[in-house]
Amino acid sequence: MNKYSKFARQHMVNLLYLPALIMFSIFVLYPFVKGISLSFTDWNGFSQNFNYVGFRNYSELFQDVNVRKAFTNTLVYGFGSTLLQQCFGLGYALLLNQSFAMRKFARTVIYMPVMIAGVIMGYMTYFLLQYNNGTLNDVISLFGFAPVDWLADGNRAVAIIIVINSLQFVGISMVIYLAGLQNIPKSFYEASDIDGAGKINQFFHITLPLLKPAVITSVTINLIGGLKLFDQIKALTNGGPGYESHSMSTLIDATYFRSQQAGYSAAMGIVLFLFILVVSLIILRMFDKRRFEY
Amino acid sequence: MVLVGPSGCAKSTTLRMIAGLEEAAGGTIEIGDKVVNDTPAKDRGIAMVFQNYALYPHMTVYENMAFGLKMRKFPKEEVDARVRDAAEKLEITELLDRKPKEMSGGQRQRVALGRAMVRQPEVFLFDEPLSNLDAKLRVSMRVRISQLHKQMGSTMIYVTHDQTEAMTMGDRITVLKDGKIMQVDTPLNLYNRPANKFVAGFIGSPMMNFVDVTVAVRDGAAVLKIGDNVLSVPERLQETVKQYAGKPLVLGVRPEHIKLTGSGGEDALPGDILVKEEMRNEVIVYFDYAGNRLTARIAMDTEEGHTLNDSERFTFDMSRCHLFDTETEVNIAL
Amino acid sequence: MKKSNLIRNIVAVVVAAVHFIPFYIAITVALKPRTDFSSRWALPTEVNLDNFAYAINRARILDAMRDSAIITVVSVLLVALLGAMAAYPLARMKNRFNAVILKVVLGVMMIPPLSMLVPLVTLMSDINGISTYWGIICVLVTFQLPLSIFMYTNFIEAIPRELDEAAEIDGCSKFMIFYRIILPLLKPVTATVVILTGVFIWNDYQFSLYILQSPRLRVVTLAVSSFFGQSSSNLGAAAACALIAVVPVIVVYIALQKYFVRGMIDSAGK
Repeated sequence: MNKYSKFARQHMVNLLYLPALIMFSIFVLYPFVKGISLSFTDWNGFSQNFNYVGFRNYSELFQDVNVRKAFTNTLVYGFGSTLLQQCFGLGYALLLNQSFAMRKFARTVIYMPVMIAGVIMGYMTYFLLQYNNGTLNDVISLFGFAPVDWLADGNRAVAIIIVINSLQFVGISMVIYLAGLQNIPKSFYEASDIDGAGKINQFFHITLPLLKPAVITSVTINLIGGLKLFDQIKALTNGGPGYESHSMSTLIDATYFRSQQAGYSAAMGIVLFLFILVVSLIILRMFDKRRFEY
Repeated sequence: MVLVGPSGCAKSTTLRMIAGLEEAAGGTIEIGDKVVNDTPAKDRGIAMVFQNYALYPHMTVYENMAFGLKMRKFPKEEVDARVRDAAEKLEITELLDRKPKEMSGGQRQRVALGRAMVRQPEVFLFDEPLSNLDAKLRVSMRVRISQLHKQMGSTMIYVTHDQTEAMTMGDRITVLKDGKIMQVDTPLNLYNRPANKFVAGFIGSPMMNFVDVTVAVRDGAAVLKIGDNVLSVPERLQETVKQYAGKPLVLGVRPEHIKLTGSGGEDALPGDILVKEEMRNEVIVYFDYAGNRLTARIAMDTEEGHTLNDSERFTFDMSRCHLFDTETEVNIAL
Repeated sequence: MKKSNLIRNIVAVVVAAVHFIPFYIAITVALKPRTDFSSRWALPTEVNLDNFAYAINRARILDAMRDSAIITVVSVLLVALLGAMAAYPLARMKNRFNAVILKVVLGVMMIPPLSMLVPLVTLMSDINGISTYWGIICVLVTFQLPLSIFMYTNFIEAIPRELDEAAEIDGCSKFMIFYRIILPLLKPVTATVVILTGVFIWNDYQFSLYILQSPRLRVVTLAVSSFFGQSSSNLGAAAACALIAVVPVIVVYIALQKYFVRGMIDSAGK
């Protein structure tokens, strides 16, 4: 028995992650590197020849009006969805934090849309938003308003998509907040009752601070998901009207598929990835420093 | 052999190095006359009982005990024989089909013991096995392990932080502090002839009293000065102590070597009693003297109504005292 | 007490109803024949299953469900197996290299699929993986592995090392420790990983859209999507198609509800 076989014996177990690493190398690392190199070309996605164009793609996309709109939309999708879902998620959690008859039923139904595909949810809500015979138009016409073509206006479409996305996934936040609420020891509320605190005071001084870990978790999940939004947009507007409701993800898709500018969309992809990376790092940095132990 | 010492003294680390679970940075480890530094744990002929038992949760007691033998490709009959034999000796035969989570701490510990026994190893290693048990169980398990030692005759290395456990179970004890060996000896010798201040203070409960004294030479004889008192130095130590004339020393006195005295001599120490713990045959007295807080065990039949005042005079039995160099902490009174 | 409970009950029902509206509407649209132009809020006067038959035949939704099922089952198995395998050394052998690998693995989770899609599609077509089972499975598995590895690593870290050490003394090699001691203990996490990964893969649209380009291998999301595109004048059939696609997931969800919810919470505990 010598030193080398000892080393081998102890470290051979690392072979176990080799299959996973191989898959990452082939399907993540290699395409990522290829993507970077592609972003410096003017390739259209299928022809044999292409040219290296340096940073032209990047400078173009920073000036591209559509890219700017898509980028803004992405931020709106991300932060808008997150905000909506935190408010409603917390609200639902507070509502369901007590035992009552309809509790389980409500929780089941609210969480149910999380299970279905985003794209299918998008198509299903289409029936509500149609101009002719759309259910939403039915409702407002009851109040005497004229029917509206909901998705015809870019900004309105973005808002609607945010609402639909939140409607579908608010269940996740609700569940996280419910768990967080149930982890707060009752003794805190009892002690503050004796101290004379009212419900509102209790909420702001006990509940909210102790929910910080849940908030961090919920915000992170919602934000990353919202920034990557794709499925629902494709289903409802496919980026339209025009390019008004595109997110960066759907714009990349449109640029690749429809305009056949593979190099350009690769550059967009890199920019999107960097952006999300930066956002994630900021969140991690911001919230890691404030870990709470109780 | 018991390895004992306070937390962080590296006793567990030493045990794990013997087991092969930790790398030795230098030196050699020999089991029998084989150097085993590079031998993997399973080939060292050892078995180990862990502090939290480390029983495989998804296996029954039988499977837990049989596992090591199965891995070594022992024939089925032999495995069965050894497991049942050990189960009988440990009185866990009815538990053979149960899983660990269905059992109490004491039962789990016996299973862990059994798992080590069936391997019939050359060396048995115990890593604080009784720390997680309640006091009564601890005592009965101690007896069981000692019996096992006699029956099996293999070498046992036992790690604990509890000096009572060490003193009752050990044939030989190694006292460790901060990774260094303080003394290796039999329990009696550790108690009566501690090599240094640490061992003297670690072994024995209540703890040995330590008092700062100064050495003076009076009429050609060495004496110890403390407060307003002067203590005599036994004949056998005169030569050694004289070398410390004018220098400080640390005097060590065990509580049972402090007595009450009625005299008013220069060796009678006036003490203000703080707390008295009255047992049936003795009183444990905590008192203040010359800025020191001391403990004494005074033999007294409390049932007869004898009692102590708030201040008494005490003397030390100087023939049983220890003296420690203030710098090296070595016991110069041996 | 009673009064506040009454309010809660009412509010809860209203909220649940709002969230159920899309499903309700889809049901009413699907059950009405093409000739019925009544408001979608109204229930159909008679139940008409023509749309469903149409969806099954034209959209071949059942075939798509079969393909989805195959892809999901195989992918989930691979994700669980490779994830657990990878997690063991990452959880037990803590050194700089492994720490870096763990960070890289987490990083993959942040990548928006669309960022990768252009070069990924090029790669897949170069190796003839487009529109194949193995092609889409490889891609989906790769992008679901990080979550799996993360969850398994956290779980294994919570298993006391003494079990490994006892097994080592009992004569196991590191591989055997993984196979005989650790793996049997991973059942709870595996359930969570299976559920989360399964749902995600079943509902995948972005990767399938790019890699499954031929109509002979379609998953449910693609089938519904393309059918909607084709049937802009036959919304009833489109609604039926969507419902058929959604029903199995919902049935499984209602049956295994608590596992789904617990799975979400566990994975969120990062």
